Amino acid sequence: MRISLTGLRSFLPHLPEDVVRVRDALDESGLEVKTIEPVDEDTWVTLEFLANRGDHRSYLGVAMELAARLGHSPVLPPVSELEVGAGDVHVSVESQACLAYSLTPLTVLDGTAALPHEVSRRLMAGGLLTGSVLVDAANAASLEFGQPTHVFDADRVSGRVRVRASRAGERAHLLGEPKARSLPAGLPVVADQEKVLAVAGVLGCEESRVREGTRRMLLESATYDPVAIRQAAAALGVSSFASQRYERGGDPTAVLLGAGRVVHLLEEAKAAKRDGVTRAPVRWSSPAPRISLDLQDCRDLLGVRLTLAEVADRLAQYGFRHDGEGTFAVPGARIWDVREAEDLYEELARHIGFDSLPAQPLPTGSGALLTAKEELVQAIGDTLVGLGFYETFTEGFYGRDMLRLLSPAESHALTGHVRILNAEERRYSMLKNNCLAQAVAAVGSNLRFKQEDVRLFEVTRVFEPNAMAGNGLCSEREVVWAMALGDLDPGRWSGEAGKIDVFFVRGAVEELAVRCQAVVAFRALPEAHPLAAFLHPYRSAEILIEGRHAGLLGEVHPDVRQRGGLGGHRPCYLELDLAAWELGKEPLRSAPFHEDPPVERMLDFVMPRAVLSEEVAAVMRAVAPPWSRGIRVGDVFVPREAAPGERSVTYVITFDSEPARLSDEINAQLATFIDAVTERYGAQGVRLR
Amino acid sequence: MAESEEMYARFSADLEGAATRSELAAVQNRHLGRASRIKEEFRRLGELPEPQRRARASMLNDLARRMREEVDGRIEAAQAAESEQRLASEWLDMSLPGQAPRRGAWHPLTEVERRCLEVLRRLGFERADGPEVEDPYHNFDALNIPQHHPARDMQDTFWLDAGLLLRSHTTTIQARVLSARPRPPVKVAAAGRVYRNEAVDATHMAMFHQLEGFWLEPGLTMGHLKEILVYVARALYGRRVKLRFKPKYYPYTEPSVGLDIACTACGGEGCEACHRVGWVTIIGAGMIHPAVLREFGYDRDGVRGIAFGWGTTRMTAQWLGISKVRSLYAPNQRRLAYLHRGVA
Repeated sequence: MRISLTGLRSFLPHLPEDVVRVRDALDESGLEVKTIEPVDEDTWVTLEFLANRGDHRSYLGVAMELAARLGHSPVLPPVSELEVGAGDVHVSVESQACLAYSLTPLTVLDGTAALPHEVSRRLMAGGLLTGSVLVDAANAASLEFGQPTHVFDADRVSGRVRVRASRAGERAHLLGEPKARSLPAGLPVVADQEKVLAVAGVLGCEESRVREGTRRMLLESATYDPVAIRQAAAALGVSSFASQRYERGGDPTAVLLGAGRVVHLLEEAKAAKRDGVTRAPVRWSSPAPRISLDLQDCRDLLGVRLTLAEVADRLAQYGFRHDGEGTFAVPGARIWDVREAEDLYEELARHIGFDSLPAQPLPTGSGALLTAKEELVQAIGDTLVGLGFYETFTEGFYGRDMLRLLSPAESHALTGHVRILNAEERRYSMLKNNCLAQAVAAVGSNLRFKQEDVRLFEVTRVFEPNAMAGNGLCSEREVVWAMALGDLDPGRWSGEAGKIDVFFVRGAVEELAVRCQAVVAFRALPEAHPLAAFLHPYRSAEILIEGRHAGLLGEVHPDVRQRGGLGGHRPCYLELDLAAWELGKEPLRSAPFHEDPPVERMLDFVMPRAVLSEEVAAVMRAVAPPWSRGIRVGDVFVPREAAPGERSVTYVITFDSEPARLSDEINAQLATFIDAVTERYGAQGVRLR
Repeated sequence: MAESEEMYARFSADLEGAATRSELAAVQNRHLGRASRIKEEFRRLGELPEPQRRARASMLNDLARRMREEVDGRIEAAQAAESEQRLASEWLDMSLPGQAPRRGAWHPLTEVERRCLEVLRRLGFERADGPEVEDPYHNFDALNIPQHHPARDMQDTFWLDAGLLLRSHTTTIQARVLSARPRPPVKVAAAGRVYRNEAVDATHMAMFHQLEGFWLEPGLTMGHLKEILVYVARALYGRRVKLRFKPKYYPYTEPSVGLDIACTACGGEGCEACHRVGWVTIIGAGMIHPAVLREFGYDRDGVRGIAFGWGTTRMTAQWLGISKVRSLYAPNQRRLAYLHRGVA
């Protein structure tokens, strides 16, 4: 809400001239200043109100709060005293949502009369000036006192006015809307015999609004139950000055005060005069709520030694009346947000000033450690960062466009999603059940910006529909995904940099395994895995730790690449199931360390596609002597005119050099390796090169 | 003497004609080596009678020393010249960039989150986690936000099937932790993604990051709350940061406060950079609302709670000096590298 400081000064004549002082006082009072604009001779201040303080939403509310802070007294603008009685106006209240209601009949004298300049200025600053003196007077009272009021053209009201619940099929033509619309049944409405005059506490209707030629009017001032108005406003999708006030709690004791201010403004401007007594079929008769305050508890909490008299004096400045023995009566404007002792403590803290409350040394204690999961995530991320990956964040949801990158078949596991019910038409209509689609999209967007070297990773979670889950809807699976594309060494300007392929990603997993002290294994990705269909069937693998699924890796399937507009680029995807990983604390040692340098020998086998290099290595390991240190792949070479998949794999075999062995002994062992491999895979075409 | 002069003259002539290290070595060998004339003369000294032998030995020694010094000097110079030539032939353009593989980086958001959690860990707050798919009880009702409460407006929610929702704040973790009824003291830090059903633009996201801490223990006061907030703010923003407290409203705390830091440009006076408001709220906090304590059975034994939190997305944007938080969530590698290296 935007207020004029000149307008505020009418309520607080001693308001400081220094804008910074006013700003600080507003902020200290919980009236957060969002902007300050000098406008002509005036200063306009935009305030953001606390969500529980409906009473702040007026000049008087702001003035009351500032008065308590600055130690001044607010000045109330003049109000006409209304005579309440049984007049000619027929009105009844049949809705529990209406807490207080009044109607005052007026005769219009001069619809072109003008309100006082300072009143108009306040309306202008608040963006509420309409030019109709009748409407402006009602708006002015709402703005000044925080008591919403509304005016009806009395000649357009037929018969008795009733505050009741809307009926099924009932229609209303709300102010400012092009045509009438159906109302849901059960909303509080103000109606006459023929039509709805207003949705109570929310908005008036076109048929009964005052016009240029209006001669008689009915001035309404009321208070409604906050929840009822909130539901009505939400059902209509409408938010008005009145509904905002009522939703946060109106003051049921201020109904006649608000109406009296409108009458005063109109009569003073000679725009209208009363045409009978005010009807008030429902008046607030509940006693003010009372709250008892524990002085010692209050002192302990705030750290300030207040006497009861000091407490009473401070609270009185916010309108709380001390009924004795630490019991306070809550003013009408605060019955919605002050309900227990802690609420009064907050009033006191605000009055003292939160800055003035003493700080207190903290009880000493030891610090906390990283949790196991934090350590694991940090270790994985640090390893990926060391390999050149950048962390990114994607959203937890996506729309159909994103899923089209994968285009899962109707029966595919990735077709089922947790839907976001109130965002179905937007680009985040479902919670993500995979990370691959967003990873592909990320590559696509980088390529569009000519960024062809991509190494991204994210620590996130996917939401997998699962009626058996604890919440009956879905499981949340925590994953780390990474995507890599481009040169192996993007900064290289000399020589040829190789390209990233699945073996780079596998190398990353092997590094992660070293960092986590885990033993990983790889095998062909099972076709049943939900992501198998979207990765290259012959360039993908499942990651296993102790035989259990721990993730997967693979080159993105050409169909997915094509849908993602990646051209000839071949990004490689990695996904780790966080639950399967843990950070080992003990050093991982597969064999003792030997000081003596190893003796190296090489064996080169040509093998067909049907035989994997690891299978051949496993055969050799099975017949390796205790003095053999290791067998690893040293080179892979594809001979000319090789059959598809055929390649020559060079194994580097290392032996202990101490005690020294004769060459014959080593050569005999190599022969053993060759024999074993030939015996096991010779029939399938494996041969020594 | 004439003989010595003659030997030296031959040596000098040969030395003059030698340029490379090998030519100089050849001169050295020819005039000072085992087969050189001077060595031969040394061998013959024994044939001379004593007085003559001594004089001739002295002459030969002088000549040999002179020749050695000259040829050694020339060899040394030639070595230096050759070395220089070889090194010059290995010239590299040292203005070319380095070629070591480059590290990537954690996201700035994660760095900020870690820094915050590190500060909280020093104070004994241990990390807890919770689901992002939540139920209204843990997101709202347990936190004193009943149905139709205006505070639900503050956190427009994404609703899912089965009446569930995407958590709109990390305070759900407070509800989750407390619903397990741990024995006080309880000191927990929580961080992660939260979701709001808002129109997305450059400065608003439907998903962003929050972090918070809460602490339950008998006897906690507003003084403790202030102490902890000042500690956290100074740890994150520096000792000299100008702070102030102001009233706030959060349904799950009472009293509720905001901690502001002064605009770094004007120190809180108000300037164009801060739209004259002078201060920006960095932390929302308060004493845990009695209704929340009651909900979880902690309305006993003088137990009070402190809770505080902030948006790490906003804090990251402040740190980086960017106004459009959306850019933080773009998987743009060039931008991510820029944020760390300062060059695109």
